[in-house]
Amino acid sequence: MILSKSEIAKYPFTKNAAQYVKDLGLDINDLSSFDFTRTAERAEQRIEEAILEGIVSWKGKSEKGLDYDVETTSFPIAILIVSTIANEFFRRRYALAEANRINNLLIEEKKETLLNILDNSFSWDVRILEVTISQPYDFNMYFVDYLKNSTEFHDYKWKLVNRKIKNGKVFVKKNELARLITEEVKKHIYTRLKNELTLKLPTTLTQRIDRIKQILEERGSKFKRDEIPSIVIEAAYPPCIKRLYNNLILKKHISHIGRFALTSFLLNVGIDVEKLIKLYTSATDFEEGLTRYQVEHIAGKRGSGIKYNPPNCETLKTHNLCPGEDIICKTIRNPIPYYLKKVKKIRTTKPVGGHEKKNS
Amino acid sequence: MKKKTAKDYVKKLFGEYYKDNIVEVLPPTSLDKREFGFLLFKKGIMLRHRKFLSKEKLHGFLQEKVPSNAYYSSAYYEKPDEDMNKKGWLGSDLLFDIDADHIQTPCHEDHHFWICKNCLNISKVQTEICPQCEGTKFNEELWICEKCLEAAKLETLKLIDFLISDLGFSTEEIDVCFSGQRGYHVHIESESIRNLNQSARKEIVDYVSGTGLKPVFHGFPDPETRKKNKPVPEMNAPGWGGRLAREIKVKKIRNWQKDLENAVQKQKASVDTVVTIDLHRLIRLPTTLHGKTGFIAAKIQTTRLEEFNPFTDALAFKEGTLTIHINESDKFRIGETEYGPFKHETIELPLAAAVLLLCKNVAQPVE
Repeated sequence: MILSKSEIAKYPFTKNAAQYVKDLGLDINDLSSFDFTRTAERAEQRIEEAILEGIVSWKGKSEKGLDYDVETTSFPIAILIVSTIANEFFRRRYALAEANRINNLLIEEKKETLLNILDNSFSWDVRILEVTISQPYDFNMYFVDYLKNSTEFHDYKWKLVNRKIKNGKVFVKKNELARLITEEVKKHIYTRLKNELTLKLPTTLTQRIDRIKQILEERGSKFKRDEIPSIVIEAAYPPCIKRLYNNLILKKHISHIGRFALTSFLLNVGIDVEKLIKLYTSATDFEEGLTRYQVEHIAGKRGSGIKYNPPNCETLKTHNLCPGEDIICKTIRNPIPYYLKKVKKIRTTKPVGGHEKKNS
Repeated sequence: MKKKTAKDYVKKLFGEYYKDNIVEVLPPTSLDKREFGFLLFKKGIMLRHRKFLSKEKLHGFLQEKVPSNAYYSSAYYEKPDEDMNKKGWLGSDLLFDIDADHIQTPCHEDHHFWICKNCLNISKVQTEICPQCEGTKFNEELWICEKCLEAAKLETLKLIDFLISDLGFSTEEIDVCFSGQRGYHVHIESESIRNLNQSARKEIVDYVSGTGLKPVFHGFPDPETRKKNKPVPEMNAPGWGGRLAREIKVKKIRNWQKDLENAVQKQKASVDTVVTIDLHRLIRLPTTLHGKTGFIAAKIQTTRLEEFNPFTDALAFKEGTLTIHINESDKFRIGETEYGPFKHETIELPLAAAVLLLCKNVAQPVE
């Protein structure tokens, strides 16, 4: 089924929309011409909304005379601008803001429209179900397609083990399918933003880019992440790491993946390779050579050169390494953000630094 | 001339097996996209990053090198013979490992023993110094146990039910193999799952092992809000809902939370969580020999798993006898006969039984 003009404007990531823009014969150099001023303006507005509001607007219902063509064509132009600026934070922010807009629209659509959009962009195996008193689900979908995005969500209800499944089909409600599509769209947009550009942009557009860069700079400091403190604060270790660390000291057995979690965590919070090797070889009967090899590998000093992060909480749970959550655990998905939050908490509640301990 | 060790003898027998039975060794699909690894008898050397372009080449290698153990990658690579980061991952089969080591059978703790590397003395308890020669290096070994293998088979059957009834795989897509020692491997080869990432595979592991399961999402009462009058799912409800409903006796419920937790423990399939999530795993090549037992890692038809008996159906050396000196051994079964226990005995045994003890390094051939 081909999407209507308004649907293309709502969902400019679809194949229909891409074809529509192509058929318009939009030339990048026309952007400086008067006709396209509105498109370029709307593209800039999309980006501004993404930076400032975290969601791109859709005025389809409220604003009369909304120009669907402007909506549709401004999307690829915005993508062009964001890719040109090539800032990782900005790419994620923009993809998320477009996804937020799309999610709000999808939940209002009919089931058939959702299926149309899917057919038009991603080849998922999804079928419409008739809702009855005993059967509250709107769709069923192949579990492999479900897992493409459900793993991004935190809530227990998304875990496959908590879903109704029969013969490989997961049952979902409409708002849930909308959420899964949204996540896929977010990834799709993000991938497009990662593409390298070789185009030379017209000056009218570069002026807009400069303006956006300025907004981004002003806002940027607000979004800056917390940094790992320069000293190691043992009291801020999350429960899982504390337990592994204690087991190491007590010479209790730690599984391979447990040692990986501990090592990658300690390296990430700033314990250096030599100290860590010493910790392992003195607390256990590990051979120094093998321990060095493994620790250096995780530190990115060998092999692929990738420095490893500790596994996410979900993974730690699967391998039975999570001893149970505390309050901070409920707000994070990985031991490192836990550490950062706890450090912040310790620093605000104990300015004297009584529990801070330098690992040397 | 140097005396023949157990290892030399086993290698010779493995060589003869591969010479006479090479047609039994089935190569994996997409042979040229798989990495192979081999453990050699000689000092336990591991050969990795091998590639074979044809079945004949693989067979030739087995016959010439006679490895103690043969493995292949569940992954498909553009260049399987390159280093890890240059291989070019193309996808991976979905793999499950059910190992008796991960199942809490009553006899679970009884199978460990330690062999002194110096004098081959066997100890049932872990010590730091060998009581016989004062050596300090040991190899930890495990007896192969019928009860543990039965338990592993039960877990495998549960797993297969999850894979078919819940996840919708067909019996043709599922390959079951005896691991050759203490468990079973389940391979799923299907285009649809080849590109699943680690998080998705983790979700599948969590599904079959009931990790993170909250019964409230399956229509059971929520122990936290204490809404206890809610009807429970029908016994024939699909997925976990039905599994739990079949397990609990509603009228006898005293503590919902505990009873449901117990039901999950009974219904779940215990699999090795690491193996399924690993996208680059090497796994024993089905139909080859296991160096710790001399058994065949036999392929088993999914529908015939229930009647499979490794002690009769996975034997490679069915004919002949061999006289060996046994240092020490627990009871064990081969075919219909039970052997042992033995302690410092020289005895003539059927070849399969003798090979098992030689592989376990608790006996030496007597020339």
